[in-house]
Amino acid sequence: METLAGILLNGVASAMILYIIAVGLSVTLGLMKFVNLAHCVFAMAGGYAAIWLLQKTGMPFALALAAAAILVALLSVPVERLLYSRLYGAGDLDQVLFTIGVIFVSIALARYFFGPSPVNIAIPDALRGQVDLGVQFPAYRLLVLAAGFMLFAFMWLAVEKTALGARLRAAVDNRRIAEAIGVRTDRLFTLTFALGCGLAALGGALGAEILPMRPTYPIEQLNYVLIVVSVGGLGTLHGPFIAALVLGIADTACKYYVPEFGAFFIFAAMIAILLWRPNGLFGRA
Amino acid sequence: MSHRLRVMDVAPWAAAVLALFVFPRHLQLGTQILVMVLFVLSIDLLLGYAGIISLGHAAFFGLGAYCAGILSVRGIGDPLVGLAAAGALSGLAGLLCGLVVLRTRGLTLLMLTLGILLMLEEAANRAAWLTGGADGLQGMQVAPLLGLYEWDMFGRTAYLYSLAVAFIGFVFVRTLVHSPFGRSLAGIRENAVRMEAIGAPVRRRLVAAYGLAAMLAGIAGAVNAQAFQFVALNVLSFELSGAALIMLILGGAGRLYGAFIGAPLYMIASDTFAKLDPTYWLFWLGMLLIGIVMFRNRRAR
Amino acid sequence: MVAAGIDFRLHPGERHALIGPNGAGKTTFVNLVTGRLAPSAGRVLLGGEDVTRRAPVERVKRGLARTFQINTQFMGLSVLENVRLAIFEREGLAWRMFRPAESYRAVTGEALAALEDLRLGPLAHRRVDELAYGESRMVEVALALASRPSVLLLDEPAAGVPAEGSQAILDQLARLPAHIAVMIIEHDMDLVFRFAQRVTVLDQGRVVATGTPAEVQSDAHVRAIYFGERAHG
Repeated sequence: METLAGILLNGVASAMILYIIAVGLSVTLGLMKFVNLAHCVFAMAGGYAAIWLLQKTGMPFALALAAAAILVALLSVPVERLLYSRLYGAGDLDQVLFTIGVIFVSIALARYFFGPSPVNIAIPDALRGQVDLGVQFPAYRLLVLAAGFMLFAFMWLAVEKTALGARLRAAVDNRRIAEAIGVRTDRLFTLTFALGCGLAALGGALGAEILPMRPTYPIEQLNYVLIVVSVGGLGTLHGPFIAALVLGIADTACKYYVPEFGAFFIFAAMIAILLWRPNGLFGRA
Repeated sequence: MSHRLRVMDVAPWAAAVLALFVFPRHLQLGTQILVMVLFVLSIDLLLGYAGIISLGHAAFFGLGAYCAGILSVRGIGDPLVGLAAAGALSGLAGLLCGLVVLRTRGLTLLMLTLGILLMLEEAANRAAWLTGGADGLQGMQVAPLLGLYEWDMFGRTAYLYSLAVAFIGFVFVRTLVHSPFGRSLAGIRENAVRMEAIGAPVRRRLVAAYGLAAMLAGIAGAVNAQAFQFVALNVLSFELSGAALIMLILGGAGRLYGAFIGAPLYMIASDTFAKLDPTYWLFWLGMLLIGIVMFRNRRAR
Repeated sequence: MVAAGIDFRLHPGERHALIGPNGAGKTTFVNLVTGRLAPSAGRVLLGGEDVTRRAPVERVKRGLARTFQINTQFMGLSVLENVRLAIFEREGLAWRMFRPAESYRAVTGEALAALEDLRLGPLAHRRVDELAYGESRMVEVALALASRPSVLLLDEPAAGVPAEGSQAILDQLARLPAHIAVMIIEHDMDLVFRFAQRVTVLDQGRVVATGTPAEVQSDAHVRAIYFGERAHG
């Protein structure tokens, strides 16, 4: 029972990191229909930025996370305007190759500036201990858990209840019609892209304690993020949330109960789900 | 493109034979290039002709490599037997995967092909008793080719073996592409709706193409295993799939020549620069990719 | 509801025109007949056989062919290649992998003859995306004819073609083999009245009138529908 609770809690914590990183991709993929395999590059940028800010300045942890996210979001704007936006109508292959190029460049840059070894983030002392929830659980992971849920709730409200959210939903459903009623889709795209990258950066920074930063981060996390996005379905907030929960818990459970199979069942399950529902569990056609 | 033989078709092969004498100390690289040429040809068939974008084609390369490798570890050392078995196994796997995967399109298709690759890689990683896991497959005993030619330490036998197999593979693909079947693939790529309207069973054709491309990839993998008498886990890596895609794009897809330009270009550049400074190499390769794609899409959206 | 209660019969060798205002459901009807859309109720019979559940590919094999309102061809291939693809499919040769397509002389010969028949001979080796619009509309017809259909559905074959071009198309349509049942969707009333033996009028998914061109022209209901449409053709 204890281990079950432990598995659940750890699974959900990893799931939250995965979700925060992946949700941006789900929305941008659903909106711009762009296969951005380089999404995790922004997560890595957020992680490294947070580490650097904490080392160079002595700013409080939460501030460093926020600053890292905002920094990456701002940086993503020229990248989107100058590069990504020219490829929205391009073929799948071109988009894939472009993002592979971005991944390579970012790995090289990361290796150059931060070295090839994993770098750990310095979380505040207050969060280093364990919390007793019936089972010993790291305080930091509890924070991550809470942050994930809160973020989900916040975004849900923002998208469902605000005018911006309504425009976003309209554009995801049908870009042409949205444009016809006056939604400036190109500005919306830039904004959404920045938001997605900012969230990814936040996820990377927040999760840096669990998933240390290293130059190969964009490729390593890509698998899981893509699984969450394609299984969850594109263009929704709750799809990747549920998919991340399922994946996070199942992955932790598998690693514990059947380590000799590793992630095999995860991939097999992904294939099965995608065959049953090609648009993901909650995706729109 | 005419089906008649032209100088351009024969020249690369003549050059490859010459290379045996001109670069006797670089035969290992040469063998690697030839293996990649065959692998990239299989991806050209899949992508350039049938129009199927797959991120996971390395799955069949790896399947063929491990098949030939494991057979030779378990005592069936004749390379041609191993080659045939690898081709059959990966061809069959390709047909099965194609049946399943080609019911979807776009991102889902991409994810499924990637998922299959990841699954196989994880399986190979965990089944160390069979595959050697992360350490690679040890103890391959490949019998002399045709019972006559020993695998010499200069790599001459390996080079000529891979040259022969790559050549036969090329002839096969070239014939296929000009045949009615190949033309129908071009038709599907140009306009699948119209193909249906003239009575073509589109999905069945694509599955067949998938299976054939898988078979060729498996043969390439088997040659790789036999020539180097080793199978590392990276034969099932996303990096391999990605590298092959890059080679194809560098050389141009859909014209068969792409493999002959892209593979040597990439392999030689990678061999030279990656040794000098891997970070530098990766950076500039990435920039090159970005540059190529931006150039191809330079007209305003 | 895009189409409802349509009871439509096409007889062997008949020349039939399907007309109606934009959005009446004409192309939807064609899609239902060819199998791209499945009906929620009703049946499609081809030569007496119930093909309602059969895939479009199987209906083609049973003699049903269509053209598309928008040019839908193999743009990067030559006109000859386009037609040859259709013949390979028809003859079941499309699975052959070991001889070059050009070496099938009978197929090439038939394709060239078919193109000659439609006055497209000189264009045989030109790429489809290099043709004038009127010429590629005829390639649409050539593709459909290459399947040797017994039933041919032409979706606005002269759409968007300037006057001289559409005259040429009309001439070709008049020379179509007599045993093929041809149904043509058209807005060009000239073409309809010169070509059709019978006319059916669709409006908002329903059959409004059917009969000879003269009968339909004098039908009050039809005139009411077209009264406002006349200016737009």
